[in-house]
Amino acid sequence: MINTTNDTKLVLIADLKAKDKKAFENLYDKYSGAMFNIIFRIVNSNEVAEDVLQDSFLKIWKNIDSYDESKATIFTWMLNVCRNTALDALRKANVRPSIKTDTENVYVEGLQTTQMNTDSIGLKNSLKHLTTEQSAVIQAIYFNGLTHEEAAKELDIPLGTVKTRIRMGLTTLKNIYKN
Amino acid sequence: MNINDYISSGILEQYVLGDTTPQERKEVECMSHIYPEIKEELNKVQIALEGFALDNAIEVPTHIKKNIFDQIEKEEVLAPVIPAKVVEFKLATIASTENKKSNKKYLVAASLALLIGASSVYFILNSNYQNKELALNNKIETINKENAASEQSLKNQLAILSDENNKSFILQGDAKKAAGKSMVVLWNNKTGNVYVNNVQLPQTPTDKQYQLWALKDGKPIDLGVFNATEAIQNMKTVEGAQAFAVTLEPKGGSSSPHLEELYGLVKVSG
Repeated sequence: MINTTNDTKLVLIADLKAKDKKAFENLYDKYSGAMFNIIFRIVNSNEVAEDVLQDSFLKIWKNIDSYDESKATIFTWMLNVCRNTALDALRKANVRPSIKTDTENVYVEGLQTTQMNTDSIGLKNSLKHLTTEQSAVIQAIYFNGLTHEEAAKELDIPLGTVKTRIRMGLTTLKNIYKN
Repeated sequence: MNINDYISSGILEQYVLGDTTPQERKEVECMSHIYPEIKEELNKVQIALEGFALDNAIEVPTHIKKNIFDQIEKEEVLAPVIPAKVVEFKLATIASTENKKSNKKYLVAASLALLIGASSVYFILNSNYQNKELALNNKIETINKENAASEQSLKNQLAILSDENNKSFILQGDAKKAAGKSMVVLWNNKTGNVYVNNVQLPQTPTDKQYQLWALKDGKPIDLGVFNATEAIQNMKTVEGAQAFAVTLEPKGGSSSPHLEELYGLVKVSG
C-alpha cells in the first residue's frame, strides 16, 4: 500500500528509483486498472487505451528519477503521465477530447445504475455520495481529460461554477477517502 | 495572502487534475512548500482523487503487463548501445545444460530433415542415442553417393552441431515484427566462431537482409548479414559476447544497427 503511511511510501519510491522491478510490478498491479479507466475515458477506444497504458507505464519506469516526492504523490504524478500520453494520442489522431455519451447519460439522467455501462458500474460506489452536478464536472475533467474551460463550455455552465462543483465534490470525496 | 482563500480558490484541485499553467503549477508548489496547511490540503485532495480512481479501476488485459515487462527487459540490454546512456549489463541465466543438450539433439534432427527432406532421417534421429549415430553414418554414406555437395554441407553442419563447445541460443522474434518466430545462434566461446541456424524469421524484401550483432560492453559488433533460411550460415567471429541481436538492414548490412528494426535479442549466460 502506497498511501497508508509515509514510511512504506518512502521505501517504495526509493525502490522504484533504484529500478527495482518487483517494486514497479507492485506499482503496476495497484494502479494499472485505475489508470486504464482514466485513459480509456479520454481516448474512448480499447485498442488505443491499451497502447497508451503501455507507453505510460514505460515512461513511468524510465522517468521515475524525475518524480519529486515533495511536489506530488506518486499517484498524481502517474496520473499526469497517463493523461498527457492519452491526450497526445488524441492529438495525433486529431480528435478533441469531449464528454462521452455514457458520461452524458450520467449527467443528464442522474446516477441510476441502469444508465451506466459496464465499465462505469464501479462509479456508483463513490459517485453516489456526490450530487449529479458535482460528478458530471469531476468526470468531465478527471475522466475525459477536459480542461476546466472546456468542461464549462461542454456543460454550459460558468467557469466559476465548474470550480465550485469540483471543490464541493472533492470535499465529499476527501471525507470518504481520508485514509 | 490569506491561506484559506487560496485553498478555496480551487487551484489545488486544478493542480492535482493537471489543469494548471506552468506558472500556476510553480505557484502551488511554492505555496505548499511554505504553508503546511496548503500542503496538508493538497495531500488530502490527492488522496481523495486516488481513492476515487482506485474505486473506478477497470480490468486490464493481462498481455499489457507482459508487454511492458518484456519491453523493459529488452531496453535494459539495449540501453548500452544507445550513446550517452550507459547501463550495466544484467545477464540472465539461460537454460540448463540438460536443456541445451536436448535442444541440440533436436537441432541436429531438424536441420538434417529440412536440408535433405528425408523424413526417415528425422525418425531415426529421434530414436535412442546409440542407434542415431550409426543410422546417421549410414545415411550420410547414402547421401554421399547421391550428392557430394549435400554431403559436404551436411558434414559441416553436423560438425558444428555436434561440437560440444558450440553453445546454442534460441533467439525469439520480436513480439510485433516476428511473433512466434525464432532462430538459433551457435557460438563457440573458445574459437569465437558464430553460426546462425534454422532461421524462421519472415522472408526479407529483396533490398534488405538480416544482420547479426554481438553486444559486448555496451557496444554492438557486426557479425555479418544472413538470410531467412533453415541452413546453417557462417558468421564473423566474436569473443566475449554478452548478447546477440538481429536487425533488418539494407542489403549488405550497416555499420551500426538500426534499433527500430530490431527483430530479436538473446542474452548469453555469464
